[in-house]
Amino acid sequence: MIEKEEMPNATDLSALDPTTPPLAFQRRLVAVRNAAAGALRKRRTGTPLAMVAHWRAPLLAALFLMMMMSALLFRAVQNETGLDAVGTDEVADAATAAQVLGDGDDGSAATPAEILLGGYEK
Amino acid sequence: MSVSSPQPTPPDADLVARCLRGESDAFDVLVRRYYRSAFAVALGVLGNRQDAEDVVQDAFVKAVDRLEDCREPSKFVQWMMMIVRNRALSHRTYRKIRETSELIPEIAEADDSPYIDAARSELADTLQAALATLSEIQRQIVLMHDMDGWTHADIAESLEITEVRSRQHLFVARKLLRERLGPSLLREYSND
Repeated sequence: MIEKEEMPNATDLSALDPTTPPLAFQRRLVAVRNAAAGALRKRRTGTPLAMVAHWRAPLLAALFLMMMMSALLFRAVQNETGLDAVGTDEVADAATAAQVLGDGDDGSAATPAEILLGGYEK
Repeated sequence: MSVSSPQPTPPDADLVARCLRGESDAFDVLVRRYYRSAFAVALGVLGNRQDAEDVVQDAFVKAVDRLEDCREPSKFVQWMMMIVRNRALSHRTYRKIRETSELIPEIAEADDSPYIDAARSELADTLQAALATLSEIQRQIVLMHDMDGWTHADIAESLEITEVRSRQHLFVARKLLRERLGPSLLREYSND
């Protein structure tokens, strides 16, 4: 901070003082304000990246909340329908189902190797 | 450099923080607080009121644009005055090129003069002419000290000279102005 100093014998330069008369100074201030308005507005709104950065915490919170609600909803549906949790059991079931379908055949179906080797005749 | 108050309220650091958020009210306070200081610096370099006003306006806009570069917001004024000085020096270089090339005619200052009062404007012209006869450093020091109330310590820091040198320049500058303007423009604060 620059402090004021006594000014004995100072030259009176008040005629050059830009802060007087007040009306003229006001005009200068308005001119500066208008010139800087764009830069200030940019600071208020920010760039898209800055906006995302600004909202990242609420966005993450909302995302977490949605995940929790989805999980709860899924659990509720599971309980209501009596289905087990999705996991390896379902995969195993799917594999078994394919096998069962295969077993439903009479066993005379040719393997791809047999077809290729021409050893298969219906 | 709030010469009117050693502890301005709100502090510069707060105003800078608010400006960073784009608050125009805070920016207005900073401009009001430091306009005269900026003008003194610019006029010291350029010697022309209209050019100095243009540079001050430009410098404030640049300051808002690059406010993140102000690493010590409490020292905003020193940073701001550095911008003003650099802009003024650039403007002077540009003006020299323009005057040399003579491609762009000089704009008559009287047309856009912000000074309403004719007598005041005339006095300002007289002062400006007298200041123009000083060396740049003498002009800067007398404007900073006598118009805006800077201390010699602050002037010395800003212009990178010693305090003694600042006092010497001020003494010579006042003597020269006194010769050119006469004693009527000298202010005796002790008689106030």
